[in-house]
Amino acid sequence: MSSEKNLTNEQILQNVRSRQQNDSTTTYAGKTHLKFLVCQLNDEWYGIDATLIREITRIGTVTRVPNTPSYVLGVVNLRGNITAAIDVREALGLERRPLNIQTTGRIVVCEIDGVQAGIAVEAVFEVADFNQSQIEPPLLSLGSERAPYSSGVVQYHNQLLFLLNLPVVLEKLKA
Amino acid sequence: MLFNPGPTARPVEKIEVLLFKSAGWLFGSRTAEISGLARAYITPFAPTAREKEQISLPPHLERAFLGWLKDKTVPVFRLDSLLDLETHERDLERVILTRYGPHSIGFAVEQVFEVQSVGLQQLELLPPLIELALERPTVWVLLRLDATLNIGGQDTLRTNLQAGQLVTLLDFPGLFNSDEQIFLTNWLSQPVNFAFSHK
Repeated sequence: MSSEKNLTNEQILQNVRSRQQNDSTTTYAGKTHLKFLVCQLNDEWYGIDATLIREITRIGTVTRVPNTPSYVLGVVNLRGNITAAIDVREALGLERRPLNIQTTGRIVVCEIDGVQAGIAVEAVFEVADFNQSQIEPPLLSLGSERAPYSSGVVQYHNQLLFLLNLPVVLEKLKA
Repeated sequence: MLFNPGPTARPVEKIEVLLFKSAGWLFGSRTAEISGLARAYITPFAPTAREKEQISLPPHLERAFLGWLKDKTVPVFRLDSLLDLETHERDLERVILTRYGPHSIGFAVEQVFEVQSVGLQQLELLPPLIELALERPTVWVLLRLDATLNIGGQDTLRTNLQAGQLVTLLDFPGLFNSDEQIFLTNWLSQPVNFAFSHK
């Protein structure tokens, strides 16, 4: 407590900025326990860095916006917060099947570099904890096509969980 | 006795918005410059070979061009085609007329609903991710409905809109890129019978 009093406002701000920067990064150096939201896209399981997630909601009514690329599903109104709904499957080279909007489909609202994006997924399962040592580099187990969009892979219930590098995925979609 | 106007409430700024459907999508636009018309007035676009040689429309416009209104002074375009939406010829029932400088342009749509009065606080900006992704600046703002709305007038195709639903409000000039705007301005400034007149 007493040591905090000696910090200047600028030092505190630096601390907050640094913490937020660490939170949004997808390299996991220095962390021993990592949390990922396990979700489904097509028939595969993916992990989304839990520190990026602001909320998870049913897909509900998506208002489509004309003259946008195919990865833009539209906009959703989350209690007055207008958010873009994005389909990341295109960037991952996955087939674009209809999403289960009425049943298991969810929008995972993430904040990436200060920009909010609602990632549409077919289903969410749980938030899973992993040790840093469990995460393998993506290049060892994935084809070169998808490897750039992964920050690693991990064994999860005898399946391979592909950890999404969302900042890179969004950059690819915007390009 | 002096007239007492009572406590002065802060006026709520409102605008009027016309809601309409195109290719099954619900849109809106400010009513300031628009009005609805039945499609029956359109003169079909059927230029002769000689007329075709006189002028060629940019591809984006040519695909969408339907015909003329008012003695060939008002061109009519399919809105669904201009917005790159899936098109259904049979669904075009109405024309929305918009001001375009000193001229007018018509946009054929599927259905036109009642005019709605909406508060400025119901307007929302596009999320930055969408704003950056727009291929043409066709969207002005989003309208957030603050109450359930049943639209359709006497029409049998009534539609229920839920409170909180978002409606895309279009900016008609944004339908055309800068080259197309220059073309349209020149084209509409020509004498009435310049392009596709039947002599």
